[in-house]
Amino acid sequence: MIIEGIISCGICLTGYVLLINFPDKADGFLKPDEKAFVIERINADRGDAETDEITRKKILAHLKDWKLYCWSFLILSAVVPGFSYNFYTPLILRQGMGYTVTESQLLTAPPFICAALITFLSSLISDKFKIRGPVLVFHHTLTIVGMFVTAYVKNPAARYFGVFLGLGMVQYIPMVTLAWQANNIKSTSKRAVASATALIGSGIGGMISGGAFKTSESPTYEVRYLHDLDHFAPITIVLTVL
Amino acid sequence: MVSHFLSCLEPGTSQTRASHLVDIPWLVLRCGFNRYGVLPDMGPIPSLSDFARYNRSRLPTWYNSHLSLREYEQCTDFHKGCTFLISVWYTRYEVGKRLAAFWMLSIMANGFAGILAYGLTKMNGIQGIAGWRCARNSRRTVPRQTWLILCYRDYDYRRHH
Repeated sequence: MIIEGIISCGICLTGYVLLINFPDKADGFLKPDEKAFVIERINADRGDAETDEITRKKILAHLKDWKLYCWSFLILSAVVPGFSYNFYTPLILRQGMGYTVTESQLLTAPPFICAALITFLSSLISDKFKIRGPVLVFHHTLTIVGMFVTAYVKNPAARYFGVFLGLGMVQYIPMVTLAWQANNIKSTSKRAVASATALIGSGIGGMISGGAFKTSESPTYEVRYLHDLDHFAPITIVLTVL
Repeated sequence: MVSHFLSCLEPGTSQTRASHLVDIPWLVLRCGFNRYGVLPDMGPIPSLSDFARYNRSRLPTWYNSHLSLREYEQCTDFHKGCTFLISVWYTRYEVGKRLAAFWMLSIMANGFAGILAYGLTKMNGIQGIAGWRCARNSRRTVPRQTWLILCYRDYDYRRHH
């Protein structure tokens, strides 16, 4: 165990040399003309390439912005079903669909591979057409469809398709929410605070989903899916406000 | 929604949920991070956490259960800091696909966790090492080295942009 730790610490020390700093402080990493180019294009886009000092006063001021908590809530709403799928897909496959332990372990992988590809494809579309909200709503809608299929259809193959659909679509949502939030924030200090507040939603969502699938609801876990759907309902309100 | 939430509060998972609380102060404390703020996630904190677990006989039982494991996972989960750094470096409509490329690794890691679990059951006892230790070795070293390699790839792209 100690030897393993030494390897990690050794790799970490190389990070002090290799990890890059913010664009305006990356003197050893970029040549002066490269640095000027990067700063210029970021300033042309959103005007906050120069980092501002993060003080306690600024953090408190940023924390008073109610819109930051909307992002947090959006992420919370997405990670509850997301974490549930992460934690319990083998359980769904084993108890809900009748696969063996080995099969359920192995069948966990394909939906996640599908989710990774969908995430990247949707991000390309989102960036190309410069839209975030409609793509987010599309993913939410198909996640709900996937969860209904997983919860209520009796055929195991169709239920597995529901896992593909639900899990494949929901994985994109926290990522695009963070990207959407980053698009709407100016100044490095606020970006740092906003990242923290947004990901607090992720932590709280993890707390909720940690006890999601009750043994007493086995093997269908229908109440659990309804619980996850509860978290999607307020998203409509938050998206409308934003 | 509230009733469903309350119905999920089973005693057996209270430690798991409590462990997520570690995230919250940790994230707030990291508000002032720069690139060096990401570094503790890459080695010392997970290693210290592991060291504490190794000496588990001297620690309370609750620490050695889910809380410690979750702390370890969250500290290792440095993609939160990296997400912030990526959003600082790129323009608004370059961020999405770069975050996606980064998060794809996380999503695929989740996917392969099942296969890894299956493999570890076959590896248990090889070289006298328990299967779960093999998992910890792979989890720690591979992602960090990948991240450092990505830094260099990033540099090449930017220089030739």
